Amino acid sequence: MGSVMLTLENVVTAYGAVRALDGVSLEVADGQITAVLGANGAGKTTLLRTVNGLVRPSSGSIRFRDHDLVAAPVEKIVTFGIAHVPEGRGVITELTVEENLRLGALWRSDRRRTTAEGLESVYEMFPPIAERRGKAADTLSGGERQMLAIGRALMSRPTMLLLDEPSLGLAPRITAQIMATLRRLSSEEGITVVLVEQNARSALSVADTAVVLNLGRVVASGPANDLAGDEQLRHAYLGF
Amino acid sequence: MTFLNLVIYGIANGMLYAAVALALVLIWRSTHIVNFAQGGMLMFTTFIAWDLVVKHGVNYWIGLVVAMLAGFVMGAVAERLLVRPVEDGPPLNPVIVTLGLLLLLQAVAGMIWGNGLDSFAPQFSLHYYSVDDQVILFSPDYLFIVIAVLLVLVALYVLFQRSPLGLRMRASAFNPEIARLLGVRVGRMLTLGWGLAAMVGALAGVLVAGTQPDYMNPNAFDPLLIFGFTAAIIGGLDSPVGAVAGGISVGVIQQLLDNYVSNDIDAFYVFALLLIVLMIRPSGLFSRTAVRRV
Repeated sequence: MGSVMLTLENVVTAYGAVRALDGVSLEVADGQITAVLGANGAGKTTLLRTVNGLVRPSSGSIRFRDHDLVAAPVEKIVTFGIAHVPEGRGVITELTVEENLRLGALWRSDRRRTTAEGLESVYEMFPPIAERRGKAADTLSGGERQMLAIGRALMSRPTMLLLDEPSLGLAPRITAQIMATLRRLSSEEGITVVLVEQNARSALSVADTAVVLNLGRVVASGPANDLAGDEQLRHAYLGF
Repeated sequence: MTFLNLVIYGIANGMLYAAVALALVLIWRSTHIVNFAQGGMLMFTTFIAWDLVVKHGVNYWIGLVVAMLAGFVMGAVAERLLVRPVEDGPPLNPVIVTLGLLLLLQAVAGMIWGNGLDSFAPQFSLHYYSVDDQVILFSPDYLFIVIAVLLVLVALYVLFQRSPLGLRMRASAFNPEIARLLGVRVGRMLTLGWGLAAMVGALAGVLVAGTQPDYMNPNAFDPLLIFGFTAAIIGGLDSPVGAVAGGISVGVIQQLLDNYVSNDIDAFYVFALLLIVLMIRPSGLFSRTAVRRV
């Protein structure tokens, strides 16, 4: 196992009196796919929003390599090498496909070069969106939007991708394609992936390790294969 | 000939409404606020230019540039200090704040420059052109107005559609949360948007003040705001192209009805037009937003 990329220690995030994260500790290893699983309301989305700074924890620490994420402004997170892939709705529908992609590299000082290279490789990776580069993003299907959201994140040349329910609302065949893409990004490009999913079956099919959340606490963690083989856990928390 | 003349005159006036509409659209797109203070800001910056040019003999073009820069600063400061603190509250709060700012600016302008009637002569002649002894309701000054507003349009188009800064500003307007995750400093973009809008408004203020003698009075700019607002609504508050089309329609229809029906009630026509458009297409003629059914 490689070195640790992302560390959460005892993170508590509360909305009023409700503790959406109730003392979560976890580690994400370099170059691996880590699945964060759990039912609706388990705290998965809050976990992502806490890592990327959109909500602040009331206590605990979050570190990404040498950076303290709790203290960092949201706009800075991407410059550390963390790219966020919001669920499909997160593409900016009023902009064109290519404008969405360009946005991904806009913060970089070397964006002239990285944008050209990035566009080329994203279009090669996702031919369906290459065909629609000049079209408004609201003309895309759900699967194409998901590709666009992943492509946009890759434009920033991240070391870690955070994905929020990429399979949501997608047909199984498209979901399988997206998961295969993640596998390839991890093994070929060495990108660390944090995959937040309600669809535990497909997430476990590509993940190296997994963490299961329930009511804001980590109830299980370990190699993805072990969790997938634990029938009791599957029935209790993963719904398959 | 009369008809053609009225159309030409209407278009020239309409360009001024278009500029104000554009200022309102820029702010609506970035913050979803109707900025009623726009009328006060452009009045105030026009007085600044007038003070410099007429009272202190400063070069007209310097006066115009100072007015536009002052507009930029006022817009940016208004967003940062007045609007942002109330933005997270009920949606009506920022609107009331901008109304308050409008009243404040009108009162302060009256205290500084008085409530009289002063003239701010334009740089170009107000004398109408004529062709074969036929007078055309179009003067060098109106030509300048049309060109100036068109230049602003082109500049805004290039900024928003062709530059990285414009892409950041649009992303911030359409989806602030995603924009921040992509490294865009959204707050800064909003401030910039308000500044730019007020700058466009400032240009419209100086231009309109030159079209008639005795224009310089703190309340004289109200119709410009009202017709500009109507133009923006007609065009669809989120569409810059719509703002210009709305401005020109309001200008032309106003002139035609003034002449062929009666000029006693010209504001009435504009509001009738507004009502008709809102009944047919509630989101405005050029809006991309789908009509929401309740």
